[in-house]
Amino acid sequence: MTIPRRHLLLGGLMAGGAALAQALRPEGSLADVRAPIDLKAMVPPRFADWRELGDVPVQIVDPELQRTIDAIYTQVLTRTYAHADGYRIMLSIAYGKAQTDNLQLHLPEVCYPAQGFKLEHIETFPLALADQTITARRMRTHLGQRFEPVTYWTVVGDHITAGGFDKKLTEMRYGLLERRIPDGMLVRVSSIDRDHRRGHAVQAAFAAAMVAAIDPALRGRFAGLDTATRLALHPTNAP
Amino acid sequence: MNTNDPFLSAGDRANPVQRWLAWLPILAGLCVLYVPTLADLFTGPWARDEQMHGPIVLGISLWLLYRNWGAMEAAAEGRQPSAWGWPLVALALLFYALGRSQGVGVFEVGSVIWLLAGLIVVLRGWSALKAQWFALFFMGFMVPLPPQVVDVVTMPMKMAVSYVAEHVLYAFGYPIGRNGVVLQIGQYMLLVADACAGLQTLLTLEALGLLYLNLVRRDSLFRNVGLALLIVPISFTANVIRVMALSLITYHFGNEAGQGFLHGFAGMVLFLSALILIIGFDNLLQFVERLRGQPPAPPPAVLGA
Repeated sequence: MTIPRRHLLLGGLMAGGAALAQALRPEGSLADVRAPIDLKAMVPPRFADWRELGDVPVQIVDPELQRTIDAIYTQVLTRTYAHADGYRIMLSIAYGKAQTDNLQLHLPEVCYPAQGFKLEHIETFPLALADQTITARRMRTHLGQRFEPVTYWTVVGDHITAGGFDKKLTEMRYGLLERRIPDGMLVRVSSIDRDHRRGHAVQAAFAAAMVAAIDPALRGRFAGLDTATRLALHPTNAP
Repeated sequence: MNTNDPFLSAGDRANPVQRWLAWLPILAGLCVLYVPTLADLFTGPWARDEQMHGPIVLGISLWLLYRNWGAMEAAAEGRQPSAWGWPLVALALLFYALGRSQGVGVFEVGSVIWLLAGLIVVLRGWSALKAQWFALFFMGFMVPLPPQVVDVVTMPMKMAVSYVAEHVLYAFGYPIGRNGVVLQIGQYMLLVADACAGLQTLLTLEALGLLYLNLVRRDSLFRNVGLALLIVPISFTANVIRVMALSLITYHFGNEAGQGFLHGFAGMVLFLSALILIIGFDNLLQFVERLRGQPPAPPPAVLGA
């Protein structure tokens, strides 16, 4: 019996590739080995001068969209907060237990236009939270006469990511170094305000107050742990 | 590396069992690598509407490989296999390992193309790869794109498709409105979601068009280039047709029917309308060419016959 040596070598190489893939495989999800996330309980209904509005009508989402949301996210928290002076902020936190190609956070710059909003401007900026500064994004959007400035950031594991390629690299870093599939969170703050400068300023203050009110042990999951390093690259363009 | 490699003796060559046995390590290797990948694809991305074309592309690619096998062997006759295939194989396997373990579909599924190319080069040489290039290139259409790319590139297209579908149906007197990619027809809301009108379907149709060109093998440059360019508007039109069909079925027969249609038949409508448009445009281009007084090309060999 003669099997060409080259064929054997190729077969062996391929088996090696399969074994390598198996060896590099993450052992499980990061969320499994850390404190479980319960958005409702972890984000306080009252903090600083803000309190949750209980009587806001539930947002109606069409079933097709709902199915997509259910498939992507493990938990979604949607709340409206009011400041003591009456200013209202809409908070939406989406948490996904596993960040892989098939299950990904959906970014507001994609979702808003999909819902009919016009996206006028989007920029990256350094957002000062309780004890650190992170890279966040803000957008100016409007739907007809509804002007809605938005501020948001994304966390993968304990890292703030700038989305896209950076997010994938963070995921792979977790996968290869920690052997875990990281979880991901998208924190979005918006308000209905014609004056986007004021809107973004209030949103920044709200975000800082909210993060300060979250249990310090869990703060990294909501606001990331890596600090200013990346921010040096982005010039400050706060209002 | 390939000097003292004992190739099959004449006696082995005659024995079909021996021939199969010789290929067994390679077949086994491919199975070990890609059977799990295929299983994941069929239960994951390929089970969803937006990538329904995946299995079709895979089937066609395999058929193309098979069809070109004779030509490949003929091209490789008397040529030396090249050692350059080894790094290609190694690279493909690294991509596979990284992609499969870290959940990067582009690497995992894409690696099969490089791996096959490497195998062909190692076993039969560059001229053999040249004979198979289209089949391998065509396989590229089954690779799932990274979601970040799909989201960003697809959105303008979804918007445009929804816009046109809305205006056409409105012109026919249907009570239809639109917000972004959310269509409202009668009391129903339709989200022109990933299932419709995406970059994936554009690529699917581009693949379909290229396949048509490859099979028909027109020798007219005018028609080849013309069709390749027309595939973009054709895919757009086919998408509009699909969204309109979905809207009309939902409007007249209710949400249930629309959802059923969506998951059963919408992809087929897209494919069929695109195919009909492609063949139609091909004939139109042929007609234009004839008007310009050029000699008519031979009739299409496969699809148009």
